Amino acid sequence: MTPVVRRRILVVGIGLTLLMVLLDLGGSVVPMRLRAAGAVVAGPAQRVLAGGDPTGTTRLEKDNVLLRTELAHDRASLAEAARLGLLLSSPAGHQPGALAARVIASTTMASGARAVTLDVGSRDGVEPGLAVVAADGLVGRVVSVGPWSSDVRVLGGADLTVGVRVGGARSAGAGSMVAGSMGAVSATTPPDAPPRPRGMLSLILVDQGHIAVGDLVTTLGSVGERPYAPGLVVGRVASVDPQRGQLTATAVIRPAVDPGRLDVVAVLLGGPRDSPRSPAAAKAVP
Amino acid sequence: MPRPTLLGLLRAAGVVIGALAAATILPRLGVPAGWVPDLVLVLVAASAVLRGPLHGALLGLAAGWVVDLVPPGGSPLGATALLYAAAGAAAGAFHHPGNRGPLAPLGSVAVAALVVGAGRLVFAVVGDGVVDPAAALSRAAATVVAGVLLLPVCSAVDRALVQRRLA
Repeated sequence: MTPVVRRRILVVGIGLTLLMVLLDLGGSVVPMRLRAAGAVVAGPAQRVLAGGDPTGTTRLEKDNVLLRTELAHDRASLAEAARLGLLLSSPAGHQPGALAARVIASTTMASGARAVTLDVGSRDGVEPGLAVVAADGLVGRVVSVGPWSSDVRVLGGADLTVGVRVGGARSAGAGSMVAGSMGAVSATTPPDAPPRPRGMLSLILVDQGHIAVGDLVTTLGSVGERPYAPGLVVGRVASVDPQRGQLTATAVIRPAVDPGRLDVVAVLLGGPRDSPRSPAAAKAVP
Repeated sequence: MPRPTLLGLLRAAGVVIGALAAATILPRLGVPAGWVPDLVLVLVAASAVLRGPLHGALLGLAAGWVVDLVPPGGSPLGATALLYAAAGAAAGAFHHPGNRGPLAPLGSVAVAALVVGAGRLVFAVVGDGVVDPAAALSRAAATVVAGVLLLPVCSAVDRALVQRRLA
């Protein structure tokens, strides 16, 4: 090839790449398809390269993650049942479907956020938008799925915000069933707050609630439990920002899960409520 | 369309293996995220310094696409390809025909690593992401160390294939 031809190829290539960057920033479906194609090709190789575990501790770790996830769900159900009693007819016997998985690849993206790849994919029932948890708490959300693998955006990226509840029964005094203050957790530092240490998240309350250092931060829950089921641990309050006349309280959150040490996790397959809540069902309970 | 050569095939295989190693093998072996060397970038720089900026930019663009597409990949898609193309062109600027000393390849890897690190920081600032200069520096340092170990092998293989007319 002559230098002129190569120069032309380079210009066309850079043009197409720029176009792809813009398409991806604009939320087009083309980059998503390309990523899925990459996952189809590279997924099996990555699963093999990640290797088996001869000691069997992986199986125990998987059990641990699944049981703790169930425990968190049951605790949330108990609290919900106690608080809301007759008003909410919580579907009986509703168990979260959780799928244990291993991290087979990880990367730091150009935006500085972390992403990991799991060894489960659409053949295991994983879909985009599902929550991913580790034994200690919430990890993040599935963003794209291949047949054998799926990519997860880890909590701490600029594009991931989680609705949360802070404090609650514990801070209001044992025995009382007061729900905690609502807020949102993300990696973006609020405009008036001091800069955060590396790896910390920011909490913005909906209003002037009470936050204390050490308060547990859990997910608020989403419609149809997608992406987040209620009661998953996000982290603990590390410090509360000083009040400087803002309308809402803000705080620093230490995430429950260290994104650098992810290994065995679970994808919450969950699924929406089978039937809508009906006022009749609530009245029928004595 | 030119016929694929042995050197071309080796180069493609090296890029794919490098991308898989950086995403899967090294993190599984317990290398911390901030210290994973950019193996693909070393290959790009090693080839670019033997042939010049145009070749470096082309190879960097193609290699960046591979890195972007191996899960979990890059976001936005194509950003790594653009950064690697710029890094390949910068590494190719160290190309001087007849110079076979070890300093030019080493300098090319260092410059390529700095270009990619600075580019990532710019992306993080513009995209409202997590700005972490310490991690960017440690990654560049790890890449240069990997370059010191890999460059002599890459250059030797490249030159041997060129001499036997397999390039």
